[in-house]
Amino acid sequence: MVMTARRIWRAVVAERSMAPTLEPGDTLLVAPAGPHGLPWLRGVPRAGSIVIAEREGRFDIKRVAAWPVGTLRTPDALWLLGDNAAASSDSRQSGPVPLSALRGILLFRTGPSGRRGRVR
Amino acid sequence: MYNVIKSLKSEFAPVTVHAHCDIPCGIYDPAGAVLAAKTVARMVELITTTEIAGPADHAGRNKVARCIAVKEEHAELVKREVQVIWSDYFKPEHLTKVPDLHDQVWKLLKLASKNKQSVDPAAAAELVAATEAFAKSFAASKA
Repeated sequence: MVMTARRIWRAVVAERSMAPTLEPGDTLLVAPAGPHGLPWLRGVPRAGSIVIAEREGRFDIKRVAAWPVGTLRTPDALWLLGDNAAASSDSRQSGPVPLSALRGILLFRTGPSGRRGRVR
Repeated sequence: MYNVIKSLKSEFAPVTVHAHCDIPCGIYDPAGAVLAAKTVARMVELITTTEIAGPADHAGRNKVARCIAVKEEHAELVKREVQVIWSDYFKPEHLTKVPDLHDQVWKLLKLASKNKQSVDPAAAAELVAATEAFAKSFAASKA
């Protein structure tokens, strides 16, 4: 098991559901969030943030979205969507993600060199 | 010292985060297979009709070599396109609508290999017909 709690960690993107924002091979710096994360990052992240959640033993990177109209909002859960809707499997198929699965919030893209910088 | 660097490296190794798209994006289309099969047929036609004057006819030999390369590539593409639809799109419940699916795919893949091995207009025409039949099965599974 990879230790992601309590220190900033590095991630590398695989697959294209967050394209064009994130492409495969992008390396990221991630701040630990969620129940075991940094104390000030334990709440629900703002809509629009890019977060990493654990699902079935692997890490998924998605964007926090507004809850769609007509869904029953659960308090400690997130509605996560990929930016590349056609190629993403996300809350549209699998429903909301509990806050307890949150592992990190994207801070910064460290590579490849031409794409370094803040990600919006 | 070496061990210190090694442990630091593993400590800061990046974790793979998935933005997965091999999951139900649901975009499948047998048109790619049909197109590739038609390309194979056209290449067979070009290979069998191109005149080569002799060993010094570099232009003619180059043309045939290129046609053979494209034939090989597109026969492989037929296999790839069909295999992905077969394994990823088709679900057990589709078999009630397309009961002979497995046999159909098996024969189609063998036919694609045959088109790589030979230059046979009849086999190429069979391959085109088989991919078109596969496209029909795909449509039937959605009906």
